[in-house]
Amino acid sequence: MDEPPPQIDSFLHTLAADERTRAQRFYFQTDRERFITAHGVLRAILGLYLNREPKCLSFCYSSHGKPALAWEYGGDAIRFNMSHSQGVALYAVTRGREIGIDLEFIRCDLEVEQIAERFFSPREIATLRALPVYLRRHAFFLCWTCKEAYIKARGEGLSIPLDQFDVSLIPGEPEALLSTQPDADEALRWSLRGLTLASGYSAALAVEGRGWTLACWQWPRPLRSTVDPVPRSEIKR
Amino acid sequence: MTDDEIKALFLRELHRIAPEVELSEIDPAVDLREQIDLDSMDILNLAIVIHETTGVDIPEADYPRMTSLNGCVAYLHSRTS
Repeated sequence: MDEPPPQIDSFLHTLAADERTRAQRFYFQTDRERFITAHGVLRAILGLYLNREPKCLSFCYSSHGKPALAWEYGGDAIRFNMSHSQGVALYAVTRGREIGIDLEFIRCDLEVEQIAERFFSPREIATLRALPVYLRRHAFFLCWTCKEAYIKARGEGLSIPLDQFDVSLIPGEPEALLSTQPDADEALRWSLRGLTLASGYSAALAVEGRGWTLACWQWPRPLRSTVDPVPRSEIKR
Repeated sequence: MTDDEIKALFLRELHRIAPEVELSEIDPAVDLREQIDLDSMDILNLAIVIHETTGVDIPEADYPRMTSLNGCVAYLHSRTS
């Protein structure tokens, strides 16, 4: 996300007035520039899907802040989500399916077991505790990104209590939404998938329905990405 | 807990999370995530510390109300008065 100044300036000119105002609020120049880049790239990607100028796009927001394309651009025909952490951004785009994506830098300064005890479901806590110590931090972030991706896909924020649904978190096993409360059928509506990035990051997707395929690219060139589209469960360790 | 004590607690935690930030330059009315690149773990930790210090039980659904200085003061005020 750390682009040269001319590129940032170019992105800035594609942003709407409210996005520029938000950019100006950032305390650090680096954060401001990354915000501009993140939103400029989002507009560029969506503009390619819609065959529109990036600066012409407009967005609407759910009551919990999830962005969507405005109705004049097809509304929910193209759906997207984005996440960024420590200078890396991920974008997810679908046609006609809700989607959520989360990316986290794997921080070493967090008491992950303490956070898990407070926010994870009893099943997730038990699974985390049963893992060897050396796997727990990665498992924690896998669990967290899956939970965040699901919440973002639903677009309802933390109004969905984090301990009211279970996700898989054992590294090497298929990512899945295992159960949901109070509506058990909700677990059947969604599929989860972990994404393998550069070391030090954890990422996951939540997509409505099943039977979809994942294709990954790295901006700005349409090359196969450093994002590995192979589910974690298929990665040999 | 007085409003000034809540502000002091909030700013102390913010300083711990982002020690390089000059606290007087933070806009109290604006969400911290719109001013500093905090991640979701920082927000969870902030909520945990505020809960543990004040004793106020804060449902996760209310976390978005706690992410600006003014919002945090107003929320805790409403929960303790």
